[in-house]
Amino acid sequence: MSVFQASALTEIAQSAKLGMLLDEAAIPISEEVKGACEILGLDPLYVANEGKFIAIVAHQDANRAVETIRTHSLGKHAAVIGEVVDEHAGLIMMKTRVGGMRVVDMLSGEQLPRIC
Amino acid sequence: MKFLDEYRDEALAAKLVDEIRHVVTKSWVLMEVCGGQTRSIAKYGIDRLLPDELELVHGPGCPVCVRSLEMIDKAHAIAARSGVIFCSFGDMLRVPGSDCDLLVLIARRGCSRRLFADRLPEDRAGKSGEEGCIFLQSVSRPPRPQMRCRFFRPAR
Repeated sequence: MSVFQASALTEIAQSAKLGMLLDEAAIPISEEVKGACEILGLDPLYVANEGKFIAIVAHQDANRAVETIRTHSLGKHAAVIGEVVDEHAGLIMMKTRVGGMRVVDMLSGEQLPRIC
Repeated sequence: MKFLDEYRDEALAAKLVDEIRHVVTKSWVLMEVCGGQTRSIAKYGIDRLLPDELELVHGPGCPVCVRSLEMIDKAHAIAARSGVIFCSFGDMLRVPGSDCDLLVLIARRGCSRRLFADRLPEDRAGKSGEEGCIFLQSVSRPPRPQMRCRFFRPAR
């Protein structure tokens, strides 16, 4: 839940050998971050993002967990951003904003900003 | 978000994919020419949306995208030397070498007068007395994109 670092989530998926499916449209990212990342050509999923919180809870508890976190002033943007699936163990897939699918992997080296 | 969401419209993308499926009646191989296009295709999973008959081939990339790391490192080694006037257009400033990019080198040298960007090397060489200057250049010239360092002497 909440905004996250893709690398942290990938670590969890790999170490627990879990497949995950994310929904890019459900990931709460502020307009300021979206705009800056678009200009610079950075992927917000791989931008350092301290103080964020990821929770993996039972499916039937997900909405209740989100509602509880939203009652706190620092958790008002909490959201369900995906689910653990039986397929592709250790791998995170994400449904993109345009309806495509991509792998969300560990960041290798540093992000390369837009060149051209 | 205005100016972003219009270009991430899932319904519109689905409509376009349907139209592509309708017109693709035999196998096609398409090559995008720019690394930025390749990145967008991967980032938005567009390759997985397209019909199987449509094969995407990535390449060849512009001279900036396909630069060799060795060449970048050599250029950075020259640029890092004190006393060197090093010129480059903006396209090479953020291309990473093994250690850093030219923007970081500018900061490390702490003397922007010696490391110029977006300046014509001929102009710089003419203003720099006897020294001349080094110009890092990416070139789109057949048969393949090239990178080169050129030395400009001031006009006498």
